[in-house]
Amino acid sequence: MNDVRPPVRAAQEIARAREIVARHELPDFITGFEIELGEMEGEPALYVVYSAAPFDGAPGQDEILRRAEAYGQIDHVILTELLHAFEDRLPYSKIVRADPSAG
Amino acid sequence: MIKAHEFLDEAERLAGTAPPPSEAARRRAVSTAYYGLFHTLTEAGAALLTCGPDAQRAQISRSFNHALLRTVSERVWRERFDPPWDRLFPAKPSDEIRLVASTVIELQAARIASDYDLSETISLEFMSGRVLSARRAALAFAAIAGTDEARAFLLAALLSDRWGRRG
Repeated sequence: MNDVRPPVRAAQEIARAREIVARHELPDFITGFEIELGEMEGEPALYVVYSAAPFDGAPGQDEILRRAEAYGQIDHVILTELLHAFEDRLPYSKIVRADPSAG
Repeated sequence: MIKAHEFLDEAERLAGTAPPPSEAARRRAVSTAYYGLFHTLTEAGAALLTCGPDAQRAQISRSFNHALLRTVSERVWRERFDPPWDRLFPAKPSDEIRLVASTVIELQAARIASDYDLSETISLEFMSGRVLSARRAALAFAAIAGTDEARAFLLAALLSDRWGRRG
């Protein structure tokens, strides 16, 4: 995710994106998020990287789907807001495990 | 000829296994979900242009490319309809076409991450979220299939890189 924009502008963009995401109530299993600037297929991109809490034990399909539904709903709303806030970057998101060894 | 819904069905099968799918299967599920949506659109595009045999429809489907589909999807998601797009799309596109457009963009990135970026684990939430998104977008497109904006979207995804040309 290399980016050649001046660091000040990048910091401003990250702060602006953080503010937009922070306006929203995030699902209970999301423990935090980071904003990263980068590219996708050569085009400027912005990533919201959510951290998800580990599952309690081996997760069943119901819990996986519950989380996926909640993530999908808020993701669509937030990405659309980010889209309109950033004319020259496409927004994307990821959801990663706070503890990667937990799957 | 394989149908788009078979990709979506397979993505859901891969995502829905118990115990939860392996990392490799999660990556396959995400990638297959993208192709489920992609081929939903290419099937519809082919049907728009021919009612001929499978070979004709397959050839039209092959004419779609991912980059142009992303460009068109961004324009629709942003509702950026300068000429000649303003003659083809309503000033306010439907929620359905905007959902399709945003999901194309989301799933293309997810597919690239799943297929090529081995540095990050594909989480269960990410995988299931993307598989759900693909199905929802396919259903949304089905709901508006045959409308002017759906046809405009497909034609743009096939031809809009030529719309600036003269002669």
